[in-house]
Amino acid sequence: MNAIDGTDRHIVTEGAPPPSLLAIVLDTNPHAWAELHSTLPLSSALSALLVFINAHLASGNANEIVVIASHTNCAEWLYPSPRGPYPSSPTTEPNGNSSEARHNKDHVPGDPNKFRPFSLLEHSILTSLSRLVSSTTSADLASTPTTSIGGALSLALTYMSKAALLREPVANDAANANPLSALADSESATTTRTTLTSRILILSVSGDLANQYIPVMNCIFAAQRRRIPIDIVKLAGDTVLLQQASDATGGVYVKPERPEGLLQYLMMAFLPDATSRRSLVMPTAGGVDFRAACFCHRNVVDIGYVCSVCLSIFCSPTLQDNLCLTCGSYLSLRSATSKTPQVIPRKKKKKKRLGTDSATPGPSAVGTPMHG
Amino acid sequence: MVKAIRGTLVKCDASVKAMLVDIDSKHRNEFIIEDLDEEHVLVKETKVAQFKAMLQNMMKEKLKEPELSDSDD
Amino acid sequence: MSGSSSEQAYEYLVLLPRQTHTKLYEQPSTVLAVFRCMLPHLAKTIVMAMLYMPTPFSAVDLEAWFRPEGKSVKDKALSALERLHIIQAKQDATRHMHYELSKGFANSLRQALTGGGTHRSFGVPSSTPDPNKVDTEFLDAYARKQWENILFYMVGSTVGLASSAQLSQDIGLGTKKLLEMGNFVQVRSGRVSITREGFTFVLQETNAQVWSLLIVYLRHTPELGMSETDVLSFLFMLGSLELGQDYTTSTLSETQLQMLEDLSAFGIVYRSSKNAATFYPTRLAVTLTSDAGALSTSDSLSSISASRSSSQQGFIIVETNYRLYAYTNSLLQISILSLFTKLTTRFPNLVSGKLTKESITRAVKLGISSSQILSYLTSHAHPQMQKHQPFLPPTVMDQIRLWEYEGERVETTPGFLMRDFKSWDEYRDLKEYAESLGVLVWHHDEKRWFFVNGVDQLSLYMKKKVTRGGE
Repeated sequence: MNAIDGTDRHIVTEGAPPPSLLAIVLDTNPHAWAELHSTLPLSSALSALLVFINAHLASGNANEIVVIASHTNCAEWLYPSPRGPYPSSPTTEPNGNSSEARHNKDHVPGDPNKFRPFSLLEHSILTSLSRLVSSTTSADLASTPTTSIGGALSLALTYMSKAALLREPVANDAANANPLSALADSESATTTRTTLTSRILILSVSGDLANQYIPVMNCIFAAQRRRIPIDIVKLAGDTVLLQQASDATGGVYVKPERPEGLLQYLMMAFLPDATSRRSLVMPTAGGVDFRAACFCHRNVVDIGYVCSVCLSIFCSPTLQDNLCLTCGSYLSLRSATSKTPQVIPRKKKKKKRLGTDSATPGPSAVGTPMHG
Repeated sequence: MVKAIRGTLVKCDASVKAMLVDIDSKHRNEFIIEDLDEEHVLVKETKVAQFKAMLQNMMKEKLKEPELSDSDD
Repeated sequence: MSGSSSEQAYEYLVLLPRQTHTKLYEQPSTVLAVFRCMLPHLAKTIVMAMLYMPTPFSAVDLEAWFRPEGKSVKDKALSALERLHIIQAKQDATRHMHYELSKGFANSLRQALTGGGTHRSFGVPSSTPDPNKVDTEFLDAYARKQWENILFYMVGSTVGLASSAQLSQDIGLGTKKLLEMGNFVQVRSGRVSITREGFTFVLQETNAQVWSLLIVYLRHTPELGMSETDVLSFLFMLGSLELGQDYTTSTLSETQLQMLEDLSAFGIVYRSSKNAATFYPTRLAVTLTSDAGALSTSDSLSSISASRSSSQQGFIIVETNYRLYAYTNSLLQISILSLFTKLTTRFPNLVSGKLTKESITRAVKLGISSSQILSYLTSHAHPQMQKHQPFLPPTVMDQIRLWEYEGERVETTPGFLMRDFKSWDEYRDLKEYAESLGVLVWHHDEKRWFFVNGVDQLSLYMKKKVTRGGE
C-alpha cells in the first residue's frame, strides 16, 4: 500500500524511458535583446519558451525542468526559484516582497483553464525574471556588454549532478545523511547507475563570449564527462565557443534563419530527449571552428604561443616578467619571436606514422620557448 | 486472395505436440484447424481451454512425476 | 494482462469509435492526459513537432527525420497515433502522402499548453474557504483505508482470515457489485472467492489497480445511464487536479455528480458529506494520469530528498536460498505474500518464509503467473535489494519461472493465421509490416504463412495498398 503515499513511484516499468531533466540557460543580456527587438522581442521568445517547457513536462511524467538566467553580471535561478528571500531585499523593501517570494506557491490563483503545475511554473519564472530585470541597474549594464554564460552553465551542472545523486536507486544510510559523500565514489559508478537523463539548452543571443573561454571550456569538459549534451539555439551573434560546446558534448546546434519561428525550432529540434534522439536525425553544427581563445586577452587565435609546462595559450609573446599567467613558470617567449611561429606543411609522400612526427616542430627549427 | 483465419496458436515441444495430435484424432479432429510445423499448431479459439485440460489429464496419466521433497529446512 | 496502468487505459481507449475520440478531444484536460500517458514516447515527439507546424508533415520529410534503424519504432508510433485518431495520413493532388494532426486534438493540446480558452476543464477550485478543510495526510489515510478495504474484501476469504466477514461490510454495495461484474471475485452462496483476474488485480501496482477497476466501471456506464465520454473526461480531469485543494461541485454535470459518489466509495475522491458543495481529490485521483506522479514534486530538490527518506520504499528481501523476509505488519501484505510463499515465522515487524516449489505451483494453480509474482517481488524489493541489478537473485527468478513452466507445457496466443498469398513479394511485404508493428508471432516462409496477434492494422494497410494500387 506504500504506493498510495505517492512517493515511491519512481519504480517505473522497464520499457518506459528514463525521466529527463532539462536545464534551460536563458541569455538575458539586455544589449543583445535590444538589438533583436524588431524580429523577436524577449516577451515573445519567453512565451515560446514557456510553451516549450510545458511540452517538455508533458512528454514524460517525471520530467523536470530548471531555468537559469545568464544575466550581464550574474547567473540567476528562475525556476526552481530560490526558497529564501533575496539577500538584499528583506530590510530594504518595506512592503514584504520577501515573504511573497517564500509563499508564492500559495498565491498563484487557481485557474480552471490551466493545468496546475504549468501555471505554478509559469508564475514562478515570470516573477523571478521580472525581479531580475527590475533589479538590474544601469551601472550593471554599462560594465559589460556580454553575459555570464559560464556561471549559468556551472549552476546547471551542479544542479544536475545533485539531482542524479538524489535519484540513485539506493539511498543507504551513509549517503542519506550526507548525499555528497557519494561524490567520493568513482565517477563511472555514479554515472552508469543514474536513472536520470539530463541535457542543457542554451538560448543564446550574445555575440562574443571569448572572455569566458576558460570557465566555459571547463563546463564543457564536465558535461562531456557526465554525458550531458549541450544544445544551442543561437538567435543572434555568433560564437565559436558555443559551437564547440555542442560539438564536444554531442548536442544540437541550430541558428534559426527566422528567429520569429522560435517555437517551431524548439519543438522540432530540441524537444526530443536522449531516448528519442537515438532514432532521429538531429541537426548539429556543420563546420565547427575549433580555434581556441588566448588566456591573456581572450582573443580567438589561429596561431599562438603555448606554455611548455601547462599548455596555456597566449596571443602575444610579451608576457609580464616572462612568467606564464597560469602556472607562473618562467617562460621566455621573446626568444621565439626571431622567427614567427609557422605551421609546418605536411609532407605528402611520407607514410602516415612519419607524417605525425613531422607535425611537431624539431628542437632547433622553430625555437620552442625554453623553460628555465 | 489473402485469407485470415481466426484461431489460437499453440506453441509446444515436439513430444507434447504428438500428444495434442493424438487427442485431436480421438475426438473427430474438433480441436486442431491446421498443423503448422513441428512445434506449432493452430487450434479453434473456443476449444483451447478444453484442449489444455485434456492435455493435462493425459500428461498426468503418462508421466509419473518424481516425488520431490522441497522442505530441506 | 499488462502491468502498466497506462497501457490498460490505452487498450480501452483505442477500442472506442472515432466519434467518441473526437468528442473526447474537445476537452484540453483530456487531450493533455491522453498525450501524457497513452502515447508511446516517440509518438509524443512526432505530435509536438507537428503541433506548431504551419503545413502538413509530408511523409517523405518524416521518413528523412528518422534514422534508418528507427523505422520500426516510427511505424509503431504512427500506428498508435492513427488508432487513436490523432493523426491522419492524407494524399494531396500530386499524390504525395502527408500527415495531419486531427484539428480538435491539436487545438485542445495547444490550449492545454498555453492555458488559453474558457473550457474550465482543469477543475474549478472552490472560491469559499471550507470550514472543515482537510490536509493531505488525512486524504492519504482516507484513500489508503478505502482501497485496502477493497483489497481485503477480495483476498480475505481466500487466505482464510477470520476477520474477513466484518471487513466486507466496510465496502459499499456498489463496489461489491462492480468487483463481481469485473469478474474479480465470485460470490457463491454468500461466500466471496477471488478469481484468476482478481489475483492479477491484487498483485498489480496500486495505480494499475485503480485503472482496472475504473475500466470495469467505464464498461458498465451505459447500463447505468451515463455517457461514456462524460465519465472519461471527468476521470482525466481528476488526474490533473491538485492534491489538498478543494474543488467546487457546482460546475459538474449530473453524470459527474453521480460519479463523485461512486468514486468516494473507492477512496479516489473525498467529500465531507454527501451533499457537500466541494470535493477533494486524493492521491489515487491525482496520480491517475501519471505513472510516476512526480510532476508536481519537481519544484525543488530538497522536497525530493525529504520525501524519499521519509517514505518506506520496499520491504521484501529474497535470498538466493529462496528464503524471503518481509518487513511489514500489514495483514494485507502478509496475506498477499502467503498466496505464493510458505510463511513460517511472524514477528512484530517481520514475517519470514520460503519460496518453495509447492507454494509456487499452488499459486500457479490459483491462476497467478510467475511474472506476476516476480513483478510483485521486484516492485516491493527492499532498498538493500535494489542495489543489485536485477533486484532479485537471478537463480530465484529462473526457478520460479521453471516451476511455472513445468505445469504449463504449451504456450497459447490468440490471433489470426494469414495464408494464401498470391506472390512472394506480397507475403514478404505484409510480413515485414507485421514485424515492424510487433504483432508477428510465427512465420513459415516456404508455405508463405504467418501468424499475427492483431489484424486491424494489417487489414487497414492492405486496403490502403489496394486503393493506391487501383488508381
